[in-house]
Amino acid sequence: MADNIFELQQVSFSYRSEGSLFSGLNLSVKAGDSICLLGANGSGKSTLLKILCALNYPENGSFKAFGRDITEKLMEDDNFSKNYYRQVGFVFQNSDAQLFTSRVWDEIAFGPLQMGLPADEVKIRVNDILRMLNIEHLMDRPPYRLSGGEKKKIALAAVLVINPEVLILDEPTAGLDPRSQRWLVELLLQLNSIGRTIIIATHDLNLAHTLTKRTLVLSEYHQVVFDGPVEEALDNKDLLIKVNLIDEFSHTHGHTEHVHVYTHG
Amino acid sequence: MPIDKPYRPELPPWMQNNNTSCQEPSRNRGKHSGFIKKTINEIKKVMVDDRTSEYFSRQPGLLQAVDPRVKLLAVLALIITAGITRSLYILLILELTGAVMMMISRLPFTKLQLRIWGFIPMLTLLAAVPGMFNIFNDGTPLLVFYENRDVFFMGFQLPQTLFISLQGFKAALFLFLRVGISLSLGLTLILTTPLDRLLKSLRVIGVPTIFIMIIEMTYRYIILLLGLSLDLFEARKVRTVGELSSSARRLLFGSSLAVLFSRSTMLAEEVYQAMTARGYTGEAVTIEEMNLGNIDLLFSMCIIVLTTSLVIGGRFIG
Repeated sequence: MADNIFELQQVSFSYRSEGSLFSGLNLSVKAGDSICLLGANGSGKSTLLKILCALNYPENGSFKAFGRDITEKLMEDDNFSKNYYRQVGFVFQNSDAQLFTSRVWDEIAFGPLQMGLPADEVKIRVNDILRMLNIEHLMDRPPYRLSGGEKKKIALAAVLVINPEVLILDEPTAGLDPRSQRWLVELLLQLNSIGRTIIIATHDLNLAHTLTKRTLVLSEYHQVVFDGPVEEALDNKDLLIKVNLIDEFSHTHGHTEHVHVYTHG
Repeated sequence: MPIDKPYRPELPPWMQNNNTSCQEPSRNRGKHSGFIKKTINEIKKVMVDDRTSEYFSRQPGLLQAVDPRVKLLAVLALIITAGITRSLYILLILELTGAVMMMISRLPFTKLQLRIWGFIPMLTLLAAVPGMFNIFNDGTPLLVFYENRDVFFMGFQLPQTLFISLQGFKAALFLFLRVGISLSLGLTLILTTPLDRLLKSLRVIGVPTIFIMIIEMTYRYIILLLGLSLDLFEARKVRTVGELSSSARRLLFGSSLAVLFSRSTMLAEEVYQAMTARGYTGEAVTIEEMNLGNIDLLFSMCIIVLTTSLVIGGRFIG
């Protein structure tokens, strides 16, 4: 379909050391979607996100983004690659991997500068982002000395400053305190409401429920076993047990605004 | 709330005993594995040094307010002056300049001076000791050890007269002072400038951007891996009783090395992906900022006047 921004058809992928991860994977993402990849540890969520971000390439099958076939060879074209990453932003699970400069300001400015934005525009954007995320006081600090939550904010700022159409986040709330989690959810909801496509990978069912409309559930055998509305997936207790997202003693309580799944302590 | 039966783990009998009694300290206390302790302390020292330099670079001192590029060029000019001067007085003036710079930058003067002069210049002096003798530097005797005698040392015949020459002594003293002054100035520059700005200022002397970026990232990940090493060794320390045998030490060292290597390889791949995902294609683009203020101009003028007077004045004073 023409309005699909991502389209994976019969994709297979494997890591040399670990054998086949995906085979025959099909997926399509429309502009403005908010999608959550749900799956237990090791189900392949991060790998799938990296395929969408053209950091990993399918061994077989086709991966189309914005109507073009994405291949390793095509991504070697600097102009194409820069243009691609201007549209697709990726927030890594491990903030330490993403924050590689020795000053927060430079870290945030890195992306737009590589994209070729004029220096004045970069300065305006970086300062706006610092203000928006309320992290101005951190701008001269080395990112590696910050707390986990602060690092996550900087990593997010470093991607938001590029203003990508698609925002891909790997375990965005991992390591965040409840207030920061709520702040992040509000921000992502707002971005989605203005037309940004949001794709997150998590095993946090509450986050999936609050943030996204559509969910893809990955089994521990790296297969998409569900693709549909998030409420439908969260109501399917058997499915969640099967993919190891909850155990059989988990339950939901409340039926209106306060639906969640948790395990007995 | 009780745990549901099918998921209740079966505890082995030894785990069911509560043993919370505290034992009396043994006579051999204090012999806790010195190797692990030393490694932990050394890692902590590096991390503390790293934080200390950040702390000082944020103090409201004079040098902290000067542009890093101006500071770098000034320090280079002073070090070159120290390197080319043949006057002891000029060297002393340069040391005094370094000391004043340290004090007005609110650096811990005494502590730093002890640290600077107590180690590397001392080592340099030790290495320069043989050069003080008339064997290498003949000249006016300053301290005579013996005269007109046949002396053999490890099968070699020494000169009939052995003394420390004035020229040799001066050469060693100059070397000692030059090393100390350069260190003092270098340390002042490092401590008053945040690392990222210091590295960026290297561009004014023609260091390529990619090289600066590599140093920056290397430093950043060394600190990260040091944190990881600290965790590794602390986890080992709490599970180690008594002294480790040398084979156990080798094994511990080897396994830590392997873990760090494997972690750094994985990290390197992710870092590259993170850079690619933000448009990096092998050529880093950075913002060049050239905003020199009045204080930079004033400081530059002072350094130019000082170094020029010292270089010219040095020709007239001994």
